[in-house]
Amino acid sequence: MIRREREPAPRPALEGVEKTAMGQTQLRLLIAGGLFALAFVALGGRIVELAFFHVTAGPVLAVEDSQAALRHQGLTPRADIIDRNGVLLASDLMTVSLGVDPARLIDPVAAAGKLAALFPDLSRRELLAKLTSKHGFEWIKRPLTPRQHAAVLRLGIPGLLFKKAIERIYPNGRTASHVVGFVDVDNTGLAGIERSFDARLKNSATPLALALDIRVQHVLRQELAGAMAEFSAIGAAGLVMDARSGEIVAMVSLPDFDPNQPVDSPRGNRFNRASLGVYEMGSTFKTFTVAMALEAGTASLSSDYDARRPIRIARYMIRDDHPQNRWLSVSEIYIHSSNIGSARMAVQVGPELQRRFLDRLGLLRRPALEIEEVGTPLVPRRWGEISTMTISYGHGLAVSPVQLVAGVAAVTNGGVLHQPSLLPAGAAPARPGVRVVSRRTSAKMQALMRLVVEEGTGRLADVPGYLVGGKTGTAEKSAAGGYRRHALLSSFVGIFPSTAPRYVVLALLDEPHGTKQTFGYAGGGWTAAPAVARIIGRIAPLLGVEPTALKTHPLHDVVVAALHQGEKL
Amino acid sequence: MNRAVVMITLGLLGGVSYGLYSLKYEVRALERRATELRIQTARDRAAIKTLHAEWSYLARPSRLDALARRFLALQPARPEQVGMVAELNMRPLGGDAAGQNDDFKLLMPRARPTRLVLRPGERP
Repeated sequence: MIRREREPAPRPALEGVEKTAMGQTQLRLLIAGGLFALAFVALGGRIVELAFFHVTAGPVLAVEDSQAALRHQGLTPRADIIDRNGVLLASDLMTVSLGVDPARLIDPVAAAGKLAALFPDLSRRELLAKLTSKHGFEWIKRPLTPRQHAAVLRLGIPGLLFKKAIERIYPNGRTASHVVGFVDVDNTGLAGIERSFDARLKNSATPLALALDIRVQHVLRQELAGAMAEFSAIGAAGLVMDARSGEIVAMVSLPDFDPNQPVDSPRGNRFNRASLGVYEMGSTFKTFTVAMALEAGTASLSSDYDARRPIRIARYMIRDDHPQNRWLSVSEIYIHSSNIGSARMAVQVGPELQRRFLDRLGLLRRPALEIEEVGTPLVPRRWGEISTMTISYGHGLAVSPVQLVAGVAAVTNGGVLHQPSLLPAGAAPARPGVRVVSRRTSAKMQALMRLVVEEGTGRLADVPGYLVGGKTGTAEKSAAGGYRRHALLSSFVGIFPSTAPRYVVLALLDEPHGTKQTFGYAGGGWTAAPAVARIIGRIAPLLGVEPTALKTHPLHDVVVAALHQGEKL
Repeated sequence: MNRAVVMITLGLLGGVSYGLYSLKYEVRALERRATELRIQTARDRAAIKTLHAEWSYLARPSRLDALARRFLALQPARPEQVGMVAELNMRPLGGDAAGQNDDFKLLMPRARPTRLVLRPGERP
């Protein structure tokens, strides 16, 4: 036991040394192992992190077309503008311009020769002047076509520089110039949608859709331009509005301009007659007078008014263009477009009610259209009996064509006013309609407007199958101190189909002149009505309006009965 | 035993190092490819935008109108040329699949097409 105790006795010393050595080694291994383990855990962690948490995109530079990247390069991208069917109305095009740093040019003379051969429109001498200029940078040609760009690259002249720029282009050119507008050299919107939605177009890449239908827009513009040329008018305006929603499907003002080169046209062409211009509309206003009287209950279709002789009030004389010199019923006043009759009808309703009615129709306030070129109506300061009389047939109150169309849509679509809008009904904030007249009144107005086309002043506006209704308007343009008898504003506002109007169409000609075909007449029935007929004939199939077999409005007999009753008296 | 552990550890170490190395290069190659693709996508997008603009320019209604008037005999559809699906007879229930019992009325226009009669001075 002692031995046993003794035998190991010498070892403790040895053991001690060994043990410490072993211990140290083990400790070192442990530490090293621990470090390695930590390192691997860290690596593993990093791998996991890379795999799962770092799935970000690569360098921003690579995303060349993103708006942010373009803006980073000092360029100013804008979102596209498209029509209701997605057709491009305005877009960005990347262009390259050619410049030169003369100091880095090796052989200016040779370079000038080569460039002059490429660009026949640049003179060799001017080129040489630029290539030897003392300035650090000179523009040579902006912008280049892709082909020219490639050709210049092939020349391989050091010292030539290319600069990228964004150019705003309008593929449809003049067709929608006043609605879409245009931009300046810095790509800032100066007119139309480009101006009113400037911030939205700059900050978002999503295309902006309008209510416009470019096909309808084209038809409207072409037919208006045709009528303008035929009757040597100085201007024209036209609108096609969805009667049920207030969406403006087409809006044209002539003369117009090319938004790609706005400075090439006279400044006056930028004036938007359809929304900025306010005009005394003439007889188309009788639509509102009759609707008002029917709605107020002061008249029925067969109520009679004395139109035997002109009304003399203050220094005015109210007379009819086609005097019937007898008592006329409301139907007849509308169909024969009697100023005397509508004046009497309006006086019976009274100035206060008339004012409120027209205000509810949105005719006394600036409409909230989505462009800035919107005119404020000219409302008489004193709205007395004289104003009531003249406004009843469209004089003494000047409104813009877009207001007139919205008002006619409201009176005939079942009686609900929708704010006119250039944005599709789905995109803009909901625009609840406001009831302005009853369904009954609205149906009567439809029938009256149909009768005007069947046998009244608007016969040339008829299009078989679409049951067009409408009202002519022929206003003398006011000038300093009075009216000019031979400077007319001739218009026709049409609805189709008149049984349940889908669209309201307006054609307005500024100072048209009669021709041999119109026997010298320049009124709305002779000049604007046929244009509306051609427009409806072309756009109805495009807009998917189903032709009807009906020849007359269901209330035709009611309206006609009122006519004959009037004639008997 | 110890030796085996060391060998296995070394083997693992080598394997992991190689794995990491190749993974890194694979990732680098993939990244390069991704960047290339992104640039290509951007170029294609720009090209599509340009082509879209060109298409819109070539297909603008004013141009198509002029071309159609020049080269086509087509005219806008007239009301009497429009037929409605509702005017079709429906296939009778229980008719055989071969269609021998079909008694479809042909979809006929409401009237015969007529030539557009132009008033003097009127454009078609």
